[in-house]
Amino acid sequence: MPECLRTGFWPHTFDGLTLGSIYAMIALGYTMVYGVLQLINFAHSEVFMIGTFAGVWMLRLYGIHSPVSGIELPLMIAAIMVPSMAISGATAVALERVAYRPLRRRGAPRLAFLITAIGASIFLSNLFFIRIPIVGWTLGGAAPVQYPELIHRTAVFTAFGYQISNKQILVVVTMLLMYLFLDRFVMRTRAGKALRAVAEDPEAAALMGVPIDRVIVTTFLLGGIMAGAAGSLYGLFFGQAQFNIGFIPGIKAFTAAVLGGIGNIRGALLGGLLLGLVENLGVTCTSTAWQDVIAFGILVAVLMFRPTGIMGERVRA
Amino acid sequence: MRERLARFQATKKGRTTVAVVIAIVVLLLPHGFDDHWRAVFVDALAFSLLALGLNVVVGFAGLLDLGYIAFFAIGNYAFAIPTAGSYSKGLFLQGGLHLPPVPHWHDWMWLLLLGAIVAAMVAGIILGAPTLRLRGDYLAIVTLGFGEMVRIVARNLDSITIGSRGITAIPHPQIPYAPGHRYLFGLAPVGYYYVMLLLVLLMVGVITRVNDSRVGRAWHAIREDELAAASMGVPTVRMKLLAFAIGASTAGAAGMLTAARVNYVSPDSFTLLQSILVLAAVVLGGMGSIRGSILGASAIIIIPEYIRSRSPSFQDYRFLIFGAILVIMMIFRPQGLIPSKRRAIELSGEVAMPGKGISDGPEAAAALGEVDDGTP
Amino acid sequence: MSAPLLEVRDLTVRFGGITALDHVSIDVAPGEIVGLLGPNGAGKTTLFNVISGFQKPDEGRITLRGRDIQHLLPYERVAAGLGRTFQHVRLFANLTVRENLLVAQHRHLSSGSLSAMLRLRAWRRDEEEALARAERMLDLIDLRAWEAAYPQALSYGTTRFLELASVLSLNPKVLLLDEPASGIQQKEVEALGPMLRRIRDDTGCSIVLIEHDMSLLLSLSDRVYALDFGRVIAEGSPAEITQDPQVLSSYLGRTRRAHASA
Repeated sequence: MPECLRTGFWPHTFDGLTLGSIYAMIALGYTMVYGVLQLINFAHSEVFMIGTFAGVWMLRLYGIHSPVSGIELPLMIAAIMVPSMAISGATAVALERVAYRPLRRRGAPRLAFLITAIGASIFLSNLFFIRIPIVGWTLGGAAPVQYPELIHRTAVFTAFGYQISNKQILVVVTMLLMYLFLDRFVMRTRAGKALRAVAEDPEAAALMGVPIDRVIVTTFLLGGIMAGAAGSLYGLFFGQAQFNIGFIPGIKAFTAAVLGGIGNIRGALLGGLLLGLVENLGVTCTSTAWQDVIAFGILVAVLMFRPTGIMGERVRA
Repeated sequence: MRERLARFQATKKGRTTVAVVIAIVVLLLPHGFDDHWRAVFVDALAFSLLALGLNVVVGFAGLLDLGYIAFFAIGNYAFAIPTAGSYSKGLFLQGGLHLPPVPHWHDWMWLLLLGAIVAAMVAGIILGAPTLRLRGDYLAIVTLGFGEMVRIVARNLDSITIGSRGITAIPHPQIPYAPGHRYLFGLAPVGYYYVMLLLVLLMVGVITRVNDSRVGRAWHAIREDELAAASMGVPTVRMKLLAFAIGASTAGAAGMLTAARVNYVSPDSFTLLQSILVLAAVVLGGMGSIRGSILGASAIIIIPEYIRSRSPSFQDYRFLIFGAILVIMMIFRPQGLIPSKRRAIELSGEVAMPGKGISDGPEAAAALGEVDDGTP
Repeated sequence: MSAPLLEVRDLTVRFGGITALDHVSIDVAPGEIVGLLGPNGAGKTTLFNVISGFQKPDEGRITLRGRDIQHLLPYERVAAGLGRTFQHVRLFANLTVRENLLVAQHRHLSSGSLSAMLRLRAWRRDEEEALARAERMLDLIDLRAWEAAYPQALSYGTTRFLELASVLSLNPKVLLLDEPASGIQQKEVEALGPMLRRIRDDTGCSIVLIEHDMSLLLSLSDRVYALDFGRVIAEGSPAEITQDPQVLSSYLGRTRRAHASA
């Protein structure tokens, strides 16, 4: 083991897993939309960004200025996350309706979808940057919007000489719960089966009477909910919301989805965690300035040498 | 009146007249405006050059390159690094690699332009060679990553690029035209305007001609159906690489001249948004349309600048509007404002290809009780 | 039999848990017409995809004219002498009939982008040659009158002939035809048999044919391979194949029933 890894191994491992959990939650949205539509939904990073704002809106709505504790805390977290998930989910569904559906109806070429996706991403991101004319207020603005501190950071237990904080546990545990919920939904419910059928072969599914439009809306909704959860958790953890906050986690999450095998739900989870780990451990050997280069490097390398990811694709070729 | 004008334009004489009028306007344009607007026009031309290059990649070969601005960045640095005085670089330098400026570089002005073109082209090939084998949508994300990587590397390589503070005091170019005589470009934009115009015209010629050869037909085939193109013996990877190289080198040329005019290069000018801006120009004008690319690029530079000069806060809304333009164009007018004839049919998606869509092939096959063979 | 032109040895392809091809070996002699017979999902099209380089095999070896083509890309295999058509016609919908044929001339031309830029004589010569070749093909399939039309204006059968003409432009040594008679009119099917034979006689190429029209396949083929569940279950002359008990039970019986019910 190189010297740089030996000193910072455990702290960076835990930090990596925390960040990786966020990536994983966003990656689930990318991977499901890709599985069903074979589309890189570039605007998904903005659905996440809106989740970070939704979190801070809720905190303001409830008038929270200082940390809460006891039984109040989990209730409060739920009261912030659930609306955030709803807002992000609604955004994702609206995105599908307004931007993608007209193209699908027309049978437009894939290039048109990609351009629309990137356009929608820029539009949404800047919607949170501008000052809205006439009314004069802004959804976000140029500067980051600070989260009031809801959770007082405390060490819960110590592992390998590193103190694991309550915030880290919150992120990882929520991610696991969300993942289990999603996995159950996709594997056990009727809607989930329809989703898998469309991912497998949309033409055959349509012939079998699977309502394609509804399945696609469900896919965007689920992805949006995951991104909303990730956004509000990200906000609670890092304490910020900003119009361009989605870009880097978005591209990392996509990397994670590819790493795990795009279209593969379990792959997105593993890919997210793995990317978080590699990136954080990589930083200990270089510097944080190179963190993003590491992730992009991984993306390019995976696409080049193992484009089906570690878990294999679940999409048609 | 309008109808008569349209009919006049359709005649050969009419076309010549229109071309002459446009030529005169374009040639005289800098003389009717102050230096601020002249600089804007130079930017519009530089941007037209970028759009022309990206149009080869996106419009002709059908590849989505979201990191296109990286090649422009490479063109910028290819000029800035060898020419900027140690005054500028030494100022911030603390150890590390120190590249002294090339002495007497003024005599090699054109060689530096060529160098920028070659550097960008090499970068294009280095990026393209391994990635152009990937599926189209993966290419989009890889190029996006590449664009960001170039920017981050430029920011981190302090000793060569002076990081995010950027390279300042890049000298203005001088062109030797006779022994002992040089044309000094200086600060005034006029000289750059004509050089850039020349480059745009040159590029239009090059691209039109290449497109009108087996290469152009191969690009068309690839963007429509890569598999079919390959089975018709079209060397798909090589043709895509060629499109990438032409696109990259065009951006390199634009970058070199821009660095020379602005005398300043900073990694922060090469963000994803800039790549999107070029894409918006191509989409607005019409993918695959050369005239459209130039018009789209000019519109995207000149119109916002005009509005900004009236209401300064407009700057903030630019990207909101460009994002919306991309979505709206794709939904309502995918062929762009000045469509290329071909792409108009193609992008509407209305042509049902026998055996390609859901509509036709399986039916024909179903008649014989056969579904796709072998694939489970 | 002379040395095989195309030699396929032990080709195996697995999709997940399903084995689409299981150690398939076939030989094609120069000038031979080889038929591939088999029910749906027997792996015939997969075999074509592997031979033409669109699908990577898990095991096996393919040689063409004694040369290992395993590591060649699809278009390199075209250059090596392989041509194929698709089960569902694949033409360029936004190119005219003539332009479709022009695309197929790519590999016969040599001028690069530089000579196109500079309008060198090489470029002009190339353009003229491509046009001349395309027009020869237009005459061959009798589509002169339709040269400026888009493929969608043609009948499905005509697009099949256009695709065939494009592939013939490649001067293939081995022609892989995936159900050339499917979806076309009876009259056109009747013309297809003599046409394919003439192509073989004129160009000397070998033809590998997947076809569900049994009478066409049996009358045309010199030799037939029967596939089922990704394996070669029988090989022989058309007469031998129709007598093979395994083939009868796995394929011919089913077709007869299907015909009876139709």
